[in-house]
Amino acid sequence: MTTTGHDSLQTRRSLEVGGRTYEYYSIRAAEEAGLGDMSRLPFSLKVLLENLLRHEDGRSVTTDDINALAGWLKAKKADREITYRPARVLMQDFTGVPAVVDLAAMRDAMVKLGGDPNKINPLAQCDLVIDHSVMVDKFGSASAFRENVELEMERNEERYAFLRWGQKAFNNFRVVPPGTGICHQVNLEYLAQTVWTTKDQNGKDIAYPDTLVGTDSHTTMINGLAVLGWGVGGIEAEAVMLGQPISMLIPEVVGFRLDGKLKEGTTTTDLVLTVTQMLREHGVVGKFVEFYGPGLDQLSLADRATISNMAPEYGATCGFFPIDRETIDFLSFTARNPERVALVESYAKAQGMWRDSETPDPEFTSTLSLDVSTVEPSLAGPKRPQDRVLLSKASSEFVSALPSLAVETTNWTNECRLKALIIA
Amino acid sequence: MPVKGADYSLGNGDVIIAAITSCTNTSNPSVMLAAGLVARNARARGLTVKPWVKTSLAPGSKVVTDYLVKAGLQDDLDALGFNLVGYGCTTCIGNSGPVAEPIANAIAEGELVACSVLSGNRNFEGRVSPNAKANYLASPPLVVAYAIAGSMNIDITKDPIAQDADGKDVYLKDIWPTNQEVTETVRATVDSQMFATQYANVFSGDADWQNIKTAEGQTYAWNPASTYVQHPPYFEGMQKEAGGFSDIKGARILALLGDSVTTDHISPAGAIKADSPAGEYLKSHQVEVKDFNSYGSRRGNHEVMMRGTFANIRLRNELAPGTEGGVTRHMPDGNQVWIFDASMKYQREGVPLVVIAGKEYGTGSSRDWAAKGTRLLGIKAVIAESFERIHRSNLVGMGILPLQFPEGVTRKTLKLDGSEKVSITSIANGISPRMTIPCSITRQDGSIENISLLCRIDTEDEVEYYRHEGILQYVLRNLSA
Repeated sequence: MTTTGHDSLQTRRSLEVGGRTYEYYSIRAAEEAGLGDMSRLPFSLKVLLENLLRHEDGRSVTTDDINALAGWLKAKKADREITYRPARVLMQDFTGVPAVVDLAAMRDAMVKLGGDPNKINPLAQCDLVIDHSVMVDKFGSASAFRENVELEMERNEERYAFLRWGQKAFNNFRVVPPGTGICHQVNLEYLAQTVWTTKDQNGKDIAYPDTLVGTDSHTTMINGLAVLGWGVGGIEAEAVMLGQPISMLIPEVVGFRLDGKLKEGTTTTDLVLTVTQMLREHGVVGKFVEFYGPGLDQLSLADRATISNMAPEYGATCGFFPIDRETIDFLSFTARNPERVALVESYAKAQGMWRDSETPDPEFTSTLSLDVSTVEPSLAGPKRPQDRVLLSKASSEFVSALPSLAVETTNWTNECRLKALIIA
Repeated sequence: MPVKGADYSLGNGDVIIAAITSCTNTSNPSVMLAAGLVARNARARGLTVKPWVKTSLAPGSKVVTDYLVKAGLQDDLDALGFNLVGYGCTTCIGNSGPVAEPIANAIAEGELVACSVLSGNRNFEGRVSPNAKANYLASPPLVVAYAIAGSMNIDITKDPIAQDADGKDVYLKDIWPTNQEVTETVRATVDSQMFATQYANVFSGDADWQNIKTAEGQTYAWNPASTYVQHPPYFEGMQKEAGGFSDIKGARILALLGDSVTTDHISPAGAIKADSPAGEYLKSHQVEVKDFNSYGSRRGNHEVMMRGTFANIRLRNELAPGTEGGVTRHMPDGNQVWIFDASMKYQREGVPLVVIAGKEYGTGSSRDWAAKGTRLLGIKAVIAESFERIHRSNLVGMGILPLQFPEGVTRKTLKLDGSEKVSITSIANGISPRMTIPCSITRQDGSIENISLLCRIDTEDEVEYYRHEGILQYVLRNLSA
């Protein structure tokens, strides 16, 4: 359920798709109500704008907040903190366990207060994918998979028994069992819907952009499917789970223009390593990145997801791709509900969130561009993802890096490895 | 360096791990099928991977297996050792598993710079494997190519990567598929039905999962013997109605910290030291040191996590000069003890606690236990020169008062040394966002210094969270009403 606000600007409209009527908060209606022309607002900020329109309650979201976001177009920045309510939460097992522990403790507390424990459930849809506990103990044999799964089950029995209880006990809480996949890929191929629907407090179907926070830094991958999302800490994730907003600064948005297509012998991996290096140099920490330009028509949805995935490596909050024909085709191809796919297209077009080759470029805080056909086969390393090395120079650069690598800079301990795990 | 029991030796630049891993690339059929095509072409020439390379394939969904099998390419990958090892995060997050002991020994003895090549997104030092000092991110087809070449010293764009059965040189270009070939393979093998089938029952799991014995019921039957999952005490003694605000009187300073204290300093990360309070707790629960696991894996047990709070070995508490780690002095006796032990003693004595710090308190990535652990140690307020945005909001979310020194006032200008008592009064009458709050500092000699602090509860919603002693309590009371 979503609790909608006062809607002082009276932007609520209805949209009929496939014989069903959805209510939505119209950016066009807000333009007419005095916000002015929002057509050149970056697509990623349109998602935030809709969120404010839907939740404007004069308290946690005010019309001043809405005006501040609309005013972003003037200076291409807006120094204001807003509250934001993502549609759902994605967790992996390392970070998800404490959140479920807290929910379980809340149920006990509810009983002690004389209330109904069944009232304690995530209010926003919450999905936990168990993907962080499998280790490559066995490899290079037909039985490797089976044996690794068995070891994983043995080592993690206590935590898994607890999560399995949670899977049965809570509403709005789904668990993808171990041995299924990686949370971001499961999100891309199945969980994400691009446009989310739910009932409001009056039982009406509301359609709005699918948005999320995740407890893993690579949650950003889903921005390739035009779903705004990034990684947060456990307390913010719990707050969203429990229907509370998170606070954020209205971000600067860096536009990344893509032209052309990959040349023979190069891959999307080469492209993303190039993009990562360029954005690191540009400086995008705390900012949104949004991709635009004719090169988008040459990128498959999977290619976009690969580029969005590495947002933490280039330092941005997210790397967003807008909804276009490729988004729709991917949703259909991955067997999403056809009614939902139709809604995504209609909603995006009604909201000015649809991109095609005719769409004027949004305005950005700053821009950079890349002719994709100039990308060369690459690696990145030996220590940082932004340190791209041409494949043709990989061996010579390794040799020149060798003296610094050979220096015993850190006494490698188990601690480093475990620490690396925690920040995953 | 010779490798014991093997007919090869290792040197700098040898590739010991080649992993097709991470959602970054395993979500992308074009690069996954390209890896399969490289394997097929290599196999056709009779090539194999070098014996010192640990090969693995860990896709992020079962759809990947479906299309690799349909294309007949999984066989080729298997032939080169890229058998399926699991569906999940592996090498990319450091779950690469051990490399063969003779190889690890040779690397250690020779102090070699061994390499990994992986299709992941991160390669910080020490992340991928303890044995690989140089770690390269690369596309899945290049991961296969480097497994065959076995070394970073070869220029694989020019040098032969291996010799075929006839002793003829094979170059990368000989086994590399064309873009068109990749595109056609994607079109011919990846289909919609694979997604429909694999995700039809995605939440059910296999027999192993379904056979896990678990409690039923609306509330959880906590297992008191578990060292991984325990009932946290946030709601103990909670009343149906929120109490008012209360003043903080006669608080002791648990830690006096400098600038840029990170969430990593505050919240436990990494390995659990055997002689630390968390280590002692685990030992007293019959957990052997080898089974300690990490703080991360024990995030479901507050007993471990609160003992780890402020226990980072690099934390410098100015109350215990010359020490590093989670040490403080308990007052008024001045005994040097673990921060956790001091906290417990203060809590038994009914003494409230504060933390005092410099600029940018709580910087770094958001970590839930940085705020949760602070609360469980009995800390009522954190007074700092400035706060990192997210950690400040997390403190309020856990019912802890963030207060900011006015410009020009710091722990140093106040000459604090931990012998003081700190009182934060006049909040009992209510709090409004960013109000000024008086604070009095009583020194050991009885003299009193009064200062004004800025209340860093920034919004009306946060006032409510604080009044309820935390966001969880706020939501709970709203739902119980």
